[in-house]
Parts: sequence; structure tokens; C-alpha cells
Amino acid sequence: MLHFIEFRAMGCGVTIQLQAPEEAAELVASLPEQIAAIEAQLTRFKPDSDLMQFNDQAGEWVQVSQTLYENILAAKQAARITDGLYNPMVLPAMIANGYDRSFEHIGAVSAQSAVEVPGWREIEVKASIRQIRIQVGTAIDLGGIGKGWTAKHIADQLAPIGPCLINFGGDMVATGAPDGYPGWPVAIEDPFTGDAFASIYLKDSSIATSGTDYRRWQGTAGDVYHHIINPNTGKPATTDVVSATVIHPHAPTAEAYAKAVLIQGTENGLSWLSNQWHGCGLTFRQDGAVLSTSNFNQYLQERTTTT
Amino acid sequence: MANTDRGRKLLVRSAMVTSTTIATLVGSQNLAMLDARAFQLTATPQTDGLVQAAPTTVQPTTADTAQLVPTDVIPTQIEIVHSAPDITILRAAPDITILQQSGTNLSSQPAATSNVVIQPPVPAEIAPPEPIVMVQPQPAVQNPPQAAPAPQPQPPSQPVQQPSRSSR
Repeated sequence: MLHFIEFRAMGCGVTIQLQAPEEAAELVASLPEQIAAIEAQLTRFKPDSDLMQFNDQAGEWVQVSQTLYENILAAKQAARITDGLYNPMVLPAMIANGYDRSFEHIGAVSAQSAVEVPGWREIEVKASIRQIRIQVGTAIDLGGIGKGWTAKHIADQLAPIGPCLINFGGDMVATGAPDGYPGWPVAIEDPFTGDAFASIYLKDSSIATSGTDYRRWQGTAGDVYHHIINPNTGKPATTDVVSATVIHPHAPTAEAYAKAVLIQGTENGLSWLSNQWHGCGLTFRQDGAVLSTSNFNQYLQERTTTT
Repeated sequence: MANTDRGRKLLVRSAMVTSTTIATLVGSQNLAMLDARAFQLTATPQTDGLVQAAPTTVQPTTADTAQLVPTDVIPTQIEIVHSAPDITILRAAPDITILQQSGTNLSSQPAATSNVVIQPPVPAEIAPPEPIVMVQPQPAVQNPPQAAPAPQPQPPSQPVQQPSRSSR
């Protein structure tokens, strides 16, 4: 039996598919509440979340919850493997660029000077007692990997029960394959048209997309802002990439890689990605070109052609 | 006595290791010289008898390849560095595939280039709906119902293809 549930969480639409006996219905129905509880710990849009309470104590050693601890460690690891192109310390820069509230509530933004983004190595960890410290005046944002971590967390629970596909607004984790399929069917969306550019089957892997096509807003001077901050400049990344999609066995890594590719631009980003462990992905460029790493071809089983 | 024997054994072993190491270095050096000589013989262009002789101690000994270097030609100085075997790391060129050329799919301008003022959706429009949980149809009611039960949504029988895109 195929269980199917969809709802909104973490600022996006969530869809979960699970092939399992009927008895799994109760577990599936409980997932929205479980994900809401995780979001309550990780969101920066609620002042009483675990994350924001931690940020408010910058400069002190803070013992954090297991969920927050794992996410911060995952963020630090993501920063390490992207050489800082993904950096969880971008929160002050995001706020300075107008992303100080949930996207749907953002208004016009006045021009701001660039905010320096601290190095990710300033996140100090005492693993034995689960304490973390950041410098005064800095703050962590987990929006870059929180969805991937949560999707993986849910998928790990469901995988022993049956094949599943966890979709957080386009970032997905797939375990196993539904009966009769080589994997879970996923469409690579064309950001220009909204149509499917290509369809692939995803199995025991994850896919993540970073884009400047949706979460963007306008400044009072008519300039356009988006939510992908370049840690080297403290401002929205200047890039020829409209969206970058990465496939990787580890969901948080896929998210981090997608951002790193977007920030670097099409050529440098894909070159960099092709040299990363299990790096595989494609980009939609502003001029309409679509390029990919060569190993992405293994996933293309159908190209949607435009007439 | 035992200490003397132990010391002697240690001395012998040290001598053997040292001599083996020296022999290896000398042997590899000789092999490199032979390789260089072979390289000179095969790579040197045979044109009008103008054969560039290697400036090192390696000299062609084969009669039919030995040529006099004309005095008006300055032989190329090729430095042969004898060192540990080179480890060459082959770094492949960026392996990028073009799936679609630019300008082939611009039926509608992306939001990135649009001049339309971009506004986020009105909050009321995206109020979170109640979770939709697909369940099995209710079993047939045995007693006469007061009112017909609301139809339950049917679960999909096939996996529903999901769009991969930037989060929304």
C-alpha cells in the first residue's frame, strides 16, 4: 500500500510517500506533528526556538538539545566540505539584506552595507557534554541544511518499514524504490517555465536545489535581493545560475553542495562539484543554457523536449 | 657475551640495510640514465644530420645515430634531474555536459530578468492547510446511516512524481 501525506512545514510544502502495510498509516499521520516539533527547535523565525535561545547566549557555552546539536554539527561539516561556501554564520548578513522574517512577510528593503560573515571555524564544540559556543555578535542560521537534515531524519525512521520519498519543497530523500519502479520518480523542474525539464528515478539518494528564482525580493532602490548569501561578500551571491540541483547520498551535503555551486557560478561550480565525492548535478543558467556534470547523465532516462 | 652478540647482530643488520639502500639508489640512478639515453635516441629528430646531442654524460653509442653537431647550431640544454620516481597526478579537465544550449528555452522570461515588481505572496494566501492524509476507504456501513458519509480521498496507487526545485 502507498501512504501519501502532504502538508506545509519549514516554509515549504512537504510530501511524504511510503510503501508499507496498512498499519503504517498511524505513523504516517503523526509525521506532521513530529516535523513541527523539529521546526520549533531549529527555526530562526521564533524567538523562543532552541536555535534563537542559543543565539541569544552568544559568547557563552550553551548545552543544546540533541536535535540542535546534530544540526549544528552537520552545518559545520557542510561548511568544511564546501570550504566555507556554505556557512551557517550568515544570519546577520541575511538579516541585513532583508531576510529578517519569514519570506512571505518580507517587504521592501533599504540598501545596506555588506556585513562581514564570521568564519565557520568559530563554532566551538564540546562533544562530550554537547555544548556549543559562538562569538558575541554572531549567530547561526540552519535554513541551509535544516530541511535536508529533517528529511533524512524522517527517512531513517521510515526506511525499515518500506521504501519512502520525503520531499521538503523540492529537496528530497529517497530510500529504496516502490514496487515496479527503479526508483522514486522525480522531475527536474525548469525554473523558467515551471515544466519538467527531465525526469529521473531516485533511489537511496537525495536531491537538493538552490535557486534565486523564488525566494527573492526587491529593495527600495529597485535592486533585487535573494536569500543565497555569499559568505565572502556578505551579500546575495552574484551568479549566472538561476538554479542548481545536486544529487548526493547525504541530504545535508546535497543542500550544501547546491549552494556552493550556485555561489560559484555555472562553470566553476560544476567543475568544483565534479571533483567532490559523489558530486553530481546540473545548473540552469540565466541565458537558458542547462549544463551538468557528466555523471549526471546516468540519471537521465527521459528528456522533456520543447517544441 | 650476550650483549656483544646482540651488538654484532645489530651492526650486521644495519650494514645490510644501508648497503641495500645504497644499491637501490645507485640502481635507480642507472635506470634513469638508461631511460634518458633511450629518450635521446628516440626523441631527437633526424633531419639533415642535425642531431642534438644530450649535454650530459649520456651519449649515443649507436653508430648510425651518432652525428656531429654542426658548429653553427647551439644544442638545446636539457637538464635531466635524477630524483625519486615522478608521481604524476592526472587531473581531468572539468567534465561538463551541455544539456541545453542558451536561448533554446526562453519561452517565458525567468523571474531573474523580469522587470515586474516582485512581491512575496500575501500571507493569507498561504495559510497552512490541514494535513492531507490518504487513508483506505471506510468499510461499508451495516446499519442504515443517518446521512451518507463524506467520501474519503483515495490514496494514489502509483508513486506520485515530485518536482525537484528551489524550496517553496
